[in-house]
Amino acid sequence: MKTKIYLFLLACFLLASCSEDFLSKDNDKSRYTPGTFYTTKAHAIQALNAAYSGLNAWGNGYTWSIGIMHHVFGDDLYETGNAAGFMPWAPVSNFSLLASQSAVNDVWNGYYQDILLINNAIVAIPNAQKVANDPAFTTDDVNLYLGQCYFLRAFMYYNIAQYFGDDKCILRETIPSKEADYSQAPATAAETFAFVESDLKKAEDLLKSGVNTTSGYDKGRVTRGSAAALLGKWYINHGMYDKAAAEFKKILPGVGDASYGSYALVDNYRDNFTKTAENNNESVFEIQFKDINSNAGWSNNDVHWLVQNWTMNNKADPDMWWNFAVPVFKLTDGDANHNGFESWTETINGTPTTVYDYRAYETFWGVPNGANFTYKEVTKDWKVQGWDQINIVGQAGCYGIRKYGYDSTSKTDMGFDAAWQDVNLRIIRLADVMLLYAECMANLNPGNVTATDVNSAIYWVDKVRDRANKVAVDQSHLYSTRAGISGQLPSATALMTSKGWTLLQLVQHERYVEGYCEGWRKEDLKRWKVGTSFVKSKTNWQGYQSLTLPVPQDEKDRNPNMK
Amino acid sequence: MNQIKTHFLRLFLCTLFMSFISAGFAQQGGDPSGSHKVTGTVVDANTGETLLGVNIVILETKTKTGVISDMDGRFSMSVPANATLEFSYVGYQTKTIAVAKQAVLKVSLDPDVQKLDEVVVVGYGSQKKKDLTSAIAIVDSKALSKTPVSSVVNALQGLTSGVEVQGNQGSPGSLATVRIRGVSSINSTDPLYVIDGIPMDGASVNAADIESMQVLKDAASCAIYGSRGANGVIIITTKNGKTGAPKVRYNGYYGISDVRKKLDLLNMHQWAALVSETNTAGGTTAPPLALDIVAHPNGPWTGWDGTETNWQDQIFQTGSIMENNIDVSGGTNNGNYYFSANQYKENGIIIDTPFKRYSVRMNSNWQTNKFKFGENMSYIFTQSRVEGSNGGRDMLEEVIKITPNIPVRNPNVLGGYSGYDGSLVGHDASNPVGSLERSRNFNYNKLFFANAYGDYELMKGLNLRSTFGVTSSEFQNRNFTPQTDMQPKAFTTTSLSESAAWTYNWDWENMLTFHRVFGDHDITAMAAHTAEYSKYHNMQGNGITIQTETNDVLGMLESGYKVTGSESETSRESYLGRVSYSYKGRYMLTANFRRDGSSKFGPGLKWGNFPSASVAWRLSDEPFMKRFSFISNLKLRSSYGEVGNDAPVGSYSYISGLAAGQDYTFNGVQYTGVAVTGFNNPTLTWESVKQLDLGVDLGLLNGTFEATFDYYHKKTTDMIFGYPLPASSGAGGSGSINKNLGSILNRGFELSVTYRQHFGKLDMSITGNMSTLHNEVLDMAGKSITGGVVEPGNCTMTAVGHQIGEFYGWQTGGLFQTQAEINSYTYKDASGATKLTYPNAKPGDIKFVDRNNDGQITDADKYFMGKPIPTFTYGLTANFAYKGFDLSLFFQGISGNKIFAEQVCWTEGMQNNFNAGTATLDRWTPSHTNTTIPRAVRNDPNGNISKVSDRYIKDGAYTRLKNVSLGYTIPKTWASKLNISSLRMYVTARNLLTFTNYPFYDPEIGSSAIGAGGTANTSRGIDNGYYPQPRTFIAGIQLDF
Repeated sequence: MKTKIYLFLLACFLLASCSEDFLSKDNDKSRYTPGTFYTTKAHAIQALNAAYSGLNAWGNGYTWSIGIMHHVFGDDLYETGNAAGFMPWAPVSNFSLLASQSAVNDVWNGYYQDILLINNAIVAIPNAQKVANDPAFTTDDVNLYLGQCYFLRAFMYYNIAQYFGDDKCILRETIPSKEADYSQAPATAAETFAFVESDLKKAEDLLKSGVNTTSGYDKGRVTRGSAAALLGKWYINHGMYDKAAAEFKKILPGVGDASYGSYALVDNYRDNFTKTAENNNESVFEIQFKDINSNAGWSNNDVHWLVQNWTMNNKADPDMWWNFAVPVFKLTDGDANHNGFESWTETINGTPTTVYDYRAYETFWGVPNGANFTYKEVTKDWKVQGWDQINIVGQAGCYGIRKYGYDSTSKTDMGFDAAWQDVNLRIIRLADVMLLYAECMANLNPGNVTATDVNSAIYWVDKVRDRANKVAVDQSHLYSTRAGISGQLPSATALMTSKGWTLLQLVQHERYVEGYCEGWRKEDLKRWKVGTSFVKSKTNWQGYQSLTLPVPQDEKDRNPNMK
Repeated sequence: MNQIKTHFLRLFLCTLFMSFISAGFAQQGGDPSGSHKVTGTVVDANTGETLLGVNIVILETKTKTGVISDMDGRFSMSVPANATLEFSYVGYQTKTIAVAKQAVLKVSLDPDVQKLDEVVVVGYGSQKKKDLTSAIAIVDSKALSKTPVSSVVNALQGLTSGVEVQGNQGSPGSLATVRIRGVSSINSTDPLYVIDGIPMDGASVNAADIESMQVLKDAASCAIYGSRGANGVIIITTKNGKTGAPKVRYNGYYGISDVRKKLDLLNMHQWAALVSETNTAGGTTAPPLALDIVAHPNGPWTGWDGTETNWQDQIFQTGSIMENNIDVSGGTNNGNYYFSANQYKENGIIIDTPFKRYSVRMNSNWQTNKFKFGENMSYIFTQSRVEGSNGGRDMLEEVIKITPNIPVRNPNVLGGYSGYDGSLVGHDASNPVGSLERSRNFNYNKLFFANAYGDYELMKGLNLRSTFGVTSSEFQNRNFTPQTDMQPKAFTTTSLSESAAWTYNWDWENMLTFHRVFGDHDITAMAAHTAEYSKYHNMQGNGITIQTETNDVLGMLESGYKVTGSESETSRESYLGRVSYSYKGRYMLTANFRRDGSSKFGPGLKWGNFPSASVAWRLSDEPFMKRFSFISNLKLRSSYGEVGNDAPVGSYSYISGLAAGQDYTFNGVQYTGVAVTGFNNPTLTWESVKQLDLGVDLGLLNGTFEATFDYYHKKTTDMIFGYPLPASSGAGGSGSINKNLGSILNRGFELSVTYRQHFGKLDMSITGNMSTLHNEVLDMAGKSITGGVVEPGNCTMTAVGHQIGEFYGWQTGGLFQTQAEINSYTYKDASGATKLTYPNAKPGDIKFVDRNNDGQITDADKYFMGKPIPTFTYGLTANFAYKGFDLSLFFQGISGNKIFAEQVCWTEGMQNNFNAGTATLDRWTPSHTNTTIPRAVRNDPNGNISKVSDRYIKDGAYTRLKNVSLGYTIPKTWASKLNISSLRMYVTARNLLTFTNYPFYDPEIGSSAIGAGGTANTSRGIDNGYYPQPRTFIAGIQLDF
């Protein structure tokens, strides 16, 4: 009987449970998981890098969809949609928008994808410091990293608000994990305003040592100055000129706060659009690109494909760039709505010739006597080939955009290979900030026309015009070099007087010519609340209200709380 | 045949060796003291043949120590006075005989055709067939042993109701898809296999080693497998030795195979005429060769070397199939053993698709008074050559598309194969012969399986059994691509990829079983604990450039190296129990319970409960039924229970992982980044299936007629699918999260009927089975899922109110005959302008039906075009035996299903310069308008072929004479002269006859459509170039020593 009892006990033992650990197999060796990663300073930095990576993510980032939207949603480019890949942008640039359009989806999706990456970093970085317990991983480090994250998050919401409206932002501070998180309702406009303001103030506060003059601080990172500039933009777009001015002023040369860095206009206007002069003194916030996959593109953090979109007209030469987005501007448009590049007559090679503000040559291909393009060591003469007379938007005489483009290529297949572009996109630069500050002054001090007073709009417009008056350094690509001639642009005061403009109109003019095709225009038009007569060649333009994208249908279908 | 001889010799030596070993175990029966000795012979009551191994015990002494009959059916034993002897033998009705004083007995046993006392293996135990309360189909093991089958799952085809087996590729070594009682999910619905008690994902066992197979269909029988039982369970028990001297058995066969049907394709003149017309209609210029042929029908033609290739003849061949199986078995009262070795080789009906398999098995069982122990071990090795494919096109697609002007070989180019010449024919089909011959892509599978058990009788009726099983499987692939210049396939450099993946698995099960009979009460109870662990690991390396074709190893690669690998673990732990109660053998009740824990699920969600219960009433044993003596068995059954399907849930899927590669550049320097980019559902759990089963078992005239009828209603809830997330979550536009949301219904009737009769010396049995299936999606949380990517786009839709993966596309409504007819279809657009409904149509184009009458042909006009899942499946087996001859016929078929034949695109597309089928000879032209085939036009402006439409839908019903087999067993007397026990010779034909309307190679289409996207269940029934099932003729022998 004893044996039986023992055996019965043995049976019970065999039937007994294994330890609870037996069923816990959460060590997934094939990927990093939050439980095993983000435990060191190096990991924290990788979380931070990822927070940036959405900016140039392939597909939805500035590499493609958001980048194209950034440039075609104003009134300076007309997207023809002549190629399959660009078709979604034709209705966007024409303001015939539908909530189901992929372009609309891409922009919405892209910014929110970035927010996930950023919130991931905001959660991971302080945790990593706690777990790491590493004397070399200080609270100052954490603050410096978080400051960048807060700026990036504010930047994303800033853009969502700009495209879709302040009341369409689904504000998140953590990674969604439950049903209620996925279907979170959008915030009110006031909540969104406060959220972005708060993030940018936090960024300014935390980025004390993240300044463009800090040695060892990587160029290309968000700086304290970036945060001040973006907060200024946030304020000015909400009509708060005094608050905006205070922020902008922090980084203006001569009057700024040294703890926000040291910024200056670069001598050569074109240095704002070239590879060699990236992250220069004028740059306040710049999206970084690098040719990683040998011109292949199609991957994160690689070349962008924007420039192929707007450089030259494919109909001119099938071998040439694609050019599906063309400038709406024509040189003959003159001064309507304070746009247009100033021109005057000069004698070149004995011939009286109409010449333009240098910035026209730096901005466009195909301006008479402007920049040429060298393809496979052969200079393509725009004017001789008549490309400037090609009719795309119903009027002869369209030009390509030269900004961010290379001046020559030796690629064999220009239709594809030359399409890639690795030049950083300058999202905020000092000239932009100067002119926005001028706009604040024009609104706050409309009567102050003292050219020497830093609180006058005139002072800052002149700063920008002075730089434009400098001789172009890279005249090798101009039809005819005009070395030594400079200072033809009249002063802001003279221009205003001759045109009979107000200070605000002066600023509007200067912003147009200085920032053509840099994505400034969509915000400017909205801030100025301009009406139907202000823009041209945009058939469905209904005034500044047209500058709001509908919330994507997919979002409404999937998120019951999205109205 | 030479190979067979050598192999046979080798195995024969093994056999001898085994005989010596087993001789040590042989024992004679007991010889208890008693008053007198009884001798006798036991024979089959029908045939008079002597029976070997009949168990004879003395009932009075209640001991199990009896004797068994010998080779000649003789026995001899001492018995007390007035003893009663019980004669029992598997497959025969037990007989008791009072001995009185008879000294010599002649006992004849009646075959037990009803097999009501047959022991059926159920999950974690066994039951007598008559006591079963649930729906379990028993596969006749005799049917398995009589005719050779290439694999276990293929053997199941058509044999039992409620089990749908569809051959996938007919390529050697490929396994069929098995669906038990419908398709319960869009996700994996493969049944669970339990081999000698150990749950496994596949039927990795040599078919010749199978003793019995049971298919558990209802929830009551499957629930004991808890979270893995939802798709049914197939229990496989391998052979054991039987008491007696060592028996050596050899089975071998050789066969040849061919393709049932080839397609009618165009010859060069027909091709030239077609593409000339195609291009003219499309406003383009036909390829120069075609124009040349049309202009000069008798040649000579520029750029043509004079050969006209029939590509189907080049790629199809007479295949061969060969199997050798030898086994040795035997046993004593203290134990038994079974040993087998198997070799299988097949050359497919498409060139360069060989397959081979070797396996060995050793099973043994031993026992002392109260302790039993034993083991099962097997090792299986398979090698197959993977048919090459070309960017989603398989070889049959290339065969149809490639033009006949291209010769197969060209010794002047690298690799030796001709490619297409774009300037001559202007399209890009690649040379299928070159692709097949040059590809060196091999798969190797090695599976080692072993389990050992010990069983101790703790007290009378209470047994403790512990089983420990280990499985080690290894999969390897070697893919070497030599340099070949064969347009459009040009491998300018050699490349090699090798991968190895191994899975190591252990399973420990401890089970207490109690069985007692108290008067009329029969109680069986079982409680068990199981633990299982599995680890998967893989590594893969590849690179390019090896300078010679013979040095095809990774070490010789010169550039482009890449190495990857991964690993995962899963574990499971379960508590399970069952109580079966039977009163007077009439009222039966079984209750099962399983509590399953799995590492696949997140903290707090690892455990789940799976209960089930079943009841049965054996009316035929009721006293009031005695007057209906012709009813030998009548039982009503009912069961209900809940089972889970955890297969769609992957390991670690409750953890949101981090994605690497979220990099960024600062001032030209790249930095790595890691972040969350999507979401996993931490609360994801198994799919749940609740099933009701109502059944009737009927036997008439002592089993002459038997029928089993079942109705089942099987509802899946919590089906997992990717639910789209709002992009504001950060998951992106196509972001989704797996949720348990869907619901699927499968219901149907199953009927199985058997009729047996003797007409003198003619023995006959006919068994038919049929099943109906209604499959319906009940809930998809407001979503629908597309699947089935074919050349024109997605062709299936899974939506509420329809089957899983129904075909979805536009309806065709005949051809336009005139431009006026085209112009008569218009609509007004948003601006009020009148627009044509068919703006790109010309006479001869297809008129797609504007089903919503909005004047436009849009996605809204698509409709559900047909169902890939058959509504009716059936099988019929007829066996005849006369003297030494046996004949069996096995028909199998399905109906009610449609096939989406992508071949239509290749044979009737007429939109490019490929070759085409002869159906295009009937194409519409202004002078030939009475036809259903549209006009030929390049680039297909109207979408005649590039729109997914019912033009692709073909009837998939077929009836197939799956197997016909004629055998002859030589008489015993001859056998004994030859010094053998028995010899049977047979010839078999597989797939001899096929009755179908399906116009392409083969209607037996499984669910692994190449590159069709979706899951196997949402992309089912798409024929995109399946390797056809071969028609095979086999001759073989079964030799028992």
